[in-house]
Amino acid sequence: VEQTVEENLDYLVRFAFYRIGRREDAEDIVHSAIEKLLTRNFSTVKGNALKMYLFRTVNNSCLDFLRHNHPMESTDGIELSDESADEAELYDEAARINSILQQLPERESEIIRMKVVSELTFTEIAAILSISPGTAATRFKLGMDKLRTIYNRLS
Amino acid sequence: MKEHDDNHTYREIYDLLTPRREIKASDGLRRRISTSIADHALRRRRASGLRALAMASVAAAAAIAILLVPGDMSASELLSSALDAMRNERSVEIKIDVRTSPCDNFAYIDAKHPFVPHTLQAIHNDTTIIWRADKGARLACGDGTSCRTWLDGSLGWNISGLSGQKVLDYLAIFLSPYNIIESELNNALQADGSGYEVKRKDDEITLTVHAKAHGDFSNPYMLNKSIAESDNIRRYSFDAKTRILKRASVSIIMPDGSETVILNMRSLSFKPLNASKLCEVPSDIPFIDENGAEKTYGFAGCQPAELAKAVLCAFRDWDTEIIYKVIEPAEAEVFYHNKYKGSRVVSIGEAFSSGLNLNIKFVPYRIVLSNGKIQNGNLAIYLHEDGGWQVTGGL
Repeated sequence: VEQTVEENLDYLVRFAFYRIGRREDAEDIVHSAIEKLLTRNFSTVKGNALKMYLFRTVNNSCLDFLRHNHPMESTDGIELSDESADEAELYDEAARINSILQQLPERESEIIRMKVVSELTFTEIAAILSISPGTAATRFKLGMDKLRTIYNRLS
Repeated sequence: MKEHDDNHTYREIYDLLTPRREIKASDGLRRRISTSIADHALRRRRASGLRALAMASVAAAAAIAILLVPGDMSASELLSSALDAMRNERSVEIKIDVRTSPCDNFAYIDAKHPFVPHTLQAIHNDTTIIWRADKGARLACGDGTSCRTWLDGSLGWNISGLSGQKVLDYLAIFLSPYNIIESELNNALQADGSGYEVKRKDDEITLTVHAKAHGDFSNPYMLNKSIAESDNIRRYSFDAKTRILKRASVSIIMPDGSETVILNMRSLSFKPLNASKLCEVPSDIPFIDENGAEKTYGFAGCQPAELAKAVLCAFRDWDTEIIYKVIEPAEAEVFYHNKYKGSRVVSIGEAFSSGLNLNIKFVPYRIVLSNGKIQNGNLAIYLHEDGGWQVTGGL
């Protein structure tokens, strides 16, 4: 468990942060997922099953969080300290990516976010969302085609 | 030109969506997690100390055994304890019988075929598995750094990816009893719609998993062609005392509702294996290297039926300008040249999808071979992410 957590911690934080755009909340969600894993005593399971369990739990928690919280907004025009400015740049980057993906249906944007932003494979995405890899690939292509159309129109 | 434009546009979208700022876990989070892990480890040690005391009277406690099966024991609990029992076994040999063709890929099943004996062997190190799978005419092995599969006396492939999953598909879980249990536990945790039932009878505990076919079967062509693509029942028997796996079988539900056993485990033994023997590959056949850079297949933007027609027509004069763009040259020459050169296309049907992989299109065809024999089939062509097509089966 410890090894799986160590190997995936940064990826989990990145996964959650670019989903909800707030570091503290993202880290709380990741910590809760790991606590849940430890409490449920899956210590005899190893490897990919643990990793997928963590990503699935974090994904579900992010969805819950977004249902009960306001969507991200830009920090433009807000005065910030140096330390906060770094965090604000991160925040704005997440907001920028999510503003692009918000043009798509959730079922397509979540797969593109996992594939492009979080660099997960279709097999991993399929395991997280309990769908087949083929379905994940199809939704990814549908979404990318729509973004391509939008991009072409704008450019 | 279109392919170039598509790739260019996708590249732009990838660039747009790729984060320009990296984020890592903060030191604060790392400290919180370290504390959590330490707390739980302490609690676990205390619990296992009590358990060891309770089990001191059990002779031959080679594995973690629970003396009684609680009436409300869940599948996950059973599997967790079975994992405990087998996690220390390092080498294993499993013999299974599968209804399939001896030379077809390891995922393929067919209820109409007789049973084909398979031998799966594995040595588990701390981080890698050295393994070998043999189904008669097709073999595969992996040494933790590379993976190979080959047709006996014919042609082989170096496969990218380190695990057997890519080559063995469902059978990868049989590389060790640990993987069988882990796989089922993973399914249980995912609550993937499967039904689980645990029963105890005499000195055996049985776990039965009822699973639905995964995939789109609006066209049923791929239904029951692999275990995942079939309504199936997986049965496992464990020794009630040691929780060691004793038997395993998989049945599929046929269209008429009857049940056909498709896989049966004959034996399982934990015995020392020779790692270098497991990794032996034949030196007298060519191996196609699939480990290199992503291959580029041709005909991006082409419709499936158009592509099928182009390829099948190219067989007549063996036009390698076309054939090699969609079939690996060595495969084309070894498997298809003699049979299909000189063949003539009679008809091409409408493309369809079926089963788990919607990137594979099937195109019905009828051709006349050079010996005058008529062949009907469904050409399987795979759509790569870059838009290129690859012929993957149906010939």
